[in-house]
This record gives sequence, structure tokens and C-alpha cells, in this order.
Amino acid sequence: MPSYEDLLEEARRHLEEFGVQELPGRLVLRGDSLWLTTAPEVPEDVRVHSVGVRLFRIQNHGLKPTSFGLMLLGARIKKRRVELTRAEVQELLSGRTLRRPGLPQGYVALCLEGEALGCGEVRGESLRGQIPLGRRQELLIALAQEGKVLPKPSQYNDGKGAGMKTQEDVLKGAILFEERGRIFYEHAAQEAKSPGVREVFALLAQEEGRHRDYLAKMLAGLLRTGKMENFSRPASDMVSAVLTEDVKKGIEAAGFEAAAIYAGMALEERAVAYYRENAKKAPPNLAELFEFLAQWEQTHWDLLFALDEELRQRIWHERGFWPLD
Amino acid sequence: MERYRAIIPEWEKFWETLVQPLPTVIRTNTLRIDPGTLRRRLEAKGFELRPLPWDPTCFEVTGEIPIGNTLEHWLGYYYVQEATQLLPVRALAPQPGERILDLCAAPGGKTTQIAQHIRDEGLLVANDASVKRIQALLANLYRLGVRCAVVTECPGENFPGEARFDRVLVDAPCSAEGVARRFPHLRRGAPLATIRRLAALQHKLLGRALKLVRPGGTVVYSTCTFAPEENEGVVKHVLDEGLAELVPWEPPVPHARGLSFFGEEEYGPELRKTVRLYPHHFNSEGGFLALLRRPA
Repeated sequence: MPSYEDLLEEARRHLEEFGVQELPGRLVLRGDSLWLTTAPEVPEDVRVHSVGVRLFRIQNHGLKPTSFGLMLLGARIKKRRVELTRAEVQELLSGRTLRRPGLPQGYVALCLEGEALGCGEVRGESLRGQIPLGRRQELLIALAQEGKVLPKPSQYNDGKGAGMKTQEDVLKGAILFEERGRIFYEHAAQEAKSPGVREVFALLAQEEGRHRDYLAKMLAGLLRTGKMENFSRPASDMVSAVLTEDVKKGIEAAGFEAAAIYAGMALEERAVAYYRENAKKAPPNLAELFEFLAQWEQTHWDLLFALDEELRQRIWHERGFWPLD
Repeated sequence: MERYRAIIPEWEKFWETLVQPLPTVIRTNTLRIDPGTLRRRLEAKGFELRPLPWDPTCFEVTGEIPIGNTLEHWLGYYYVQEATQLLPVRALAPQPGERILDLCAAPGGKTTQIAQHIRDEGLLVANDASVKRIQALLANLYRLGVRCAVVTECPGENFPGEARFDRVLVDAPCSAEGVARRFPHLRRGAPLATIRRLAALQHKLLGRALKLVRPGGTVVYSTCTFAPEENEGVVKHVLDEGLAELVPWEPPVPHARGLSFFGEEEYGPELRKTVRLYPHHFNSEGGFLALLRRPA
């Protein structure tokens, strides 16, 4: 273990790299961490869990900045800030890497709309999030929920300022929706501990992938011929058939599955609204396709809602009842 | 709850309020953002915010999505805290640079509020007896970016030392009858055996707090229950032991004074200096608080 002085020196170097000129507190070494605190003393006659906010963890290869620490430093961070879009943040939160050439190697501050969210790491041209899993899930849910009240993609995502108007644009938007859904459920399937729940998420990922492929085929036809092919309904599975008692029992109420179900519901709700909204404006064959997709996504939502309802009581019991705040 | 019919004023109105939905209140984390900026940001996301008339850093909020699911909440710009729960720290009146103990701190609503009052300057020991609950406390302290807090794990009644703090908050574990609007099963009222068991623990906690505070220092004792045994009964006990004197405190909201008796139990007129908070008085939850001073 390096000496306290060596660790302080390394911390200073890191902070310089982040462009932090003044630290709002002092650094205290305790356990495997350097803590940022304004407390003038630390009681020694009682078990201590934390002193202020953990700023660095001491790891084998050196110090690693914490996400809470970077969030606290916020606007003091002048360098190594990586500004991301909401869609990019959601990708990183889902555990995927982004290709971002030209960034400085090592730890960076991930930022959204000017706010420091936490720690990321750049290796080569890849950017990976380092925000802890629980916090990632909470932010994923928050962004999905905010998506319901912020401007819809059809109003801001086309880069033309006038909304998606052409059949091509509408199809591209729909493909993007399905791909996002597929990525989300694929990740949820990887993280879920219960085999039954894993299967549910895997099935949803497959369905979203099939929707994407079908829409991509229609887009290719449109680009090739300039005309929209007649819509024929793709085959669908009966999703509700998978909601067995075993699946219900297998969900860890306070764990990742619960958060993923909640986030999935928000995602599906938005997809249904998107398809319904565009069905109103589209030519008849496309309108029928969108109405069908809306119904299909609605079955996903119904499934997730049923799972969520199942969880409510259990979350209550597992978290323990202590209603003081 | 029926046993409180004689002591809760406007009983019918009280009972009607218990079945009404509870307003959602948020407290701006002034360590990170000013209330005006927070208001503008949340309004841009479709929320409606109305400042509390007695605390402009706090807002009653309505909106389409849960207020706990926003980027601003995730960033620690506010804490969702019921209005009644804002009062104990206001009574404690902590000052920057002081040594303060929050004896039963988890999940951290009042701890983070204390940190704001002292502008993150001083020593704030946030203690709790339960490792599980400390995890929630840590998450909230980190999220809100509180730097002055030292989190400790110790049964409150055994917290070591003597006269080491300027102020101590004892927001005691209680039978929680005051939060019956959120949790309907509590409308039945708590069993007497539970109330008595909790009162014994609360007496130990308050007694220890009064040893831990310096002579002349302040202790606030608060609960979220209506049970006199856990409120006036506990305070009377430490007064009788000569550990404390009561200080009158006027909350900025409609309230009732503490009871001088309950059934055959005499608490005495001194206990009128304590405060009872009822849901129908300002559309909130319910609770009790007492401001105490350790004799110099």
C-alpha cells in the first residue's frame, strides 16, 4: 500500500488532469479510499462507515475517481469532460461501449446537459461507463420517465426542426425505437438472475429484433422502388403465455429485474404513443402497420405491468418498513 | 386510533384527512442548487411547484411522473420530504461550525437538512444502529453531496462519550401512527405492547442524547406517532430525572400543544411546551416534537 503522501500526490495529479483547481474540503485516507470532507475531526471510539464523500478508491493500478465524487466536483471539472446525448447516456447505462475516437485515455467525467454524472473510462476509441449498477438503473428509469414529458422524438429527433414527415423518416424512427428496445431487453436478459425472468427479457429482445428487421425490409423496399410495399402482418408470439407462476416467483423484487421491468414499461409506453401518433398521419398501408406495432408493443407493456403488479407487495416487504422520512 | 378521540381536536376532520392523498413536498438541496433554478428546471419538465409559505426552499409538487424519477433528483438537487418532517431540524436550529449528532439518522432526510442549515461546515455525526438502514443513509448523503457528515454505526442508547456535541437530534424509532395517510394499515393504530416497547427504547435514546450534549446544549426529540406514551411520556421521564428542561417552541404551521395528561396518566402543565402536529391542521402527516436543553 502506498504511503498517505504518495496517495495525496497521485490524487493531486488526477485532479489536475480534470482541471480541478480548488478542492472543496480536505482529503482523508480511510480504509481503501480517499474521502473528501469538511468535517474537522473523525470520532475514533465508534464504528465509522464514511467521512464525507468518497472521492477516490485505491486500486491495484492506482486511484480511481468515484462517480459520486465527480458528481460533487461538478462544474469544478474543467478538463476530461465528455458531453453525451441522452441516447448515448442510455447506451452507456445499458452496459454498452461507445466508439468515441480522439478522447484522452483513462478516466473521464461523463456529462449530460452540462451536468457531471460520474466516471467513465476511455480505452483506445472505446468509452465505457463506470457508474455503479444501482445508480445506473435509477438513472435509466429517470431518463425513461422523463421521456414521457419531454418533447417526443417526432418533434426533436429528425434534425430538420419540422418533425418527421416522410415515410422514410417515420420508418427510420420506428427502426430506431425497435433497436433501442432490443438493446435494452438484451441487456436486461444478461443481468437478470432468475432463469424464468431471463427468458422473458430474451423473448422481448427477440420480438423487438423481429420488428426491427421487418421495418428495415420495408425501408429497403421503399428506398429501392420509391414505393411502400403492402403490409403483411409478421408472425407474433403470445407473450402473455410466458407469464407463469415460476417466472413471477423468480423475480428478485428489490433487484435489477424490478428496475428493468419499470424502465421497460416506460419504453413500451413511449413506443405505443409513437406508433399511434404516426399512424394518424401515415398513408393507409403504413398506418395499418403502425397500428399493428402499437398493439404489439401494448402486449409487451401488459406483460411488464402484470409483472410489476406482482412485485409491489414484495418490494414493500424486502425493503423493510421504516416510514420516518 | 380510537383511543385518541378525546385528545385530537376536530376528530371527524382528522379522520377524513387520513384518507386524503398526501401532498408531495420536496426540499431544495441548497448545497447544490438554488430554489429558483430548481423550480425552473422542474417546471420545464412539466411539474407544477408551489413554495411552502413558511419555507421558500421547499415546494409542493404535482406532475405526470413520480418526482423521484428525474435527472435533478438523481443529481441530488432535492430531497423528497414530507412537510411535518421538516420541522425537527428547524427546531434544532443548527449553526455552521457546530458539532451536531443525529442519533437515529437513516435514511438521512433530516441529516441532509442539518447539513444544509450548517452550510456543510462543522461536524455532523450521522449515526444509526442498523447496517441495512445505513446503506440508504449513505446513498442519500453521497447523492446530495454532503461533505461534513461522518456516518457511524452504533445502537443510539450506547453511543459513547459525554458532553461532546452542541446539538443532538433524536428522531426516534416509533410506532409511526402519524404516517397513516401513506400507509393505510396504520390507521388501526399501533398495539399497546409495541408502543410500550418503543417507549422504553426512546427513553434510553433521549437519556443518552442528553448526556452527549454539552451543558446548555440543545436536544430535539421527535417522533411521527400520536401515542402519548412515546411522546409526552418519554419527555416527562427525562424531566423527572433532572436531565433536561423544556424550551417552548412555536412551529411556523398550525399545531396543537403537548398533553398535560392522557387518561389517568398525568404529564403536568410543563409538557404543554411540546408540540403536536396533526394531519388536518396543515394537510400533512402527524408527529410530535420537544425542544430540550441540558441544564448548564
